[in-house]
Amino acid sequence: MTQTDTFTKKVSRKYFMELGGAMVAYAVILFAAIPVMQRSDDLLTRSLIILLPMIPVVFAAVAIYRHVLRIDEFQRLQVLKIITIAAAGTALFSMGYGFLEIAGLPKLSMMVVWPVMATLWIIAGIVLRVRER
Amino acid sequence: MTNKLREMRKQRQLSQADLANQLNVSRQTINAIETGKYDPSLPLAFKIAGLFEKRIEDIFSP
Repeated sequence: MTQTDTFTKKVSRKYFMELGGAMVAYAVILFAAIPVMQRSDDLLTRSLIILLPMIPVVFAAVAIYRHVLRIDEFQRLQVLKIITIAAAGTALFSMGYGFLEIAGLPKLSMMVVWPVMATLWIIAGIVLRVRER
Repeated sequence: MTNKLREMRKQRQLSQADLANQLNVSRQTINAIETGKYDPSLPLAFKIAGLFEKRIEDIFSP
């Protein structure tokens, strides 16, 4: 079994706490915001309420940024490769499907973009890890 | 670049994790350097050389 180093344990623990905390807050606020939003007819009020879950999402983004600053130089290079693949793949998908929408395919919600990027992020991470072995 | 990191590490009977802990990097980085998949930055190369009390060129070569 591969021994885990102290550096990785320390960095992973901080990342888990920061990102995990933000994700828990996101879930709680999201589930609270939806029924409150549905009770209002005013567009501005509904918009402000439904945007509340974005506050912990900002904290999640900051957690990811802080993690990238904490990891070591090789890990940072790996993350750069992964995010480049995910970003490029997402750009290709959104542009390609945009053209397909012009051709007549059903319009997709903007909410699709993040899951596409997250999926590519995970796949790229797995592929890179497998190639390393 | 080629390096003698694995050989020098084993001479001191250190695991990759032990060496990683001493250099404050991940075991993944040590493995990548030893297998030639990654060339360390100058600051890290200096740290490695300092730890083994060698010159950089005694450990790394083009």
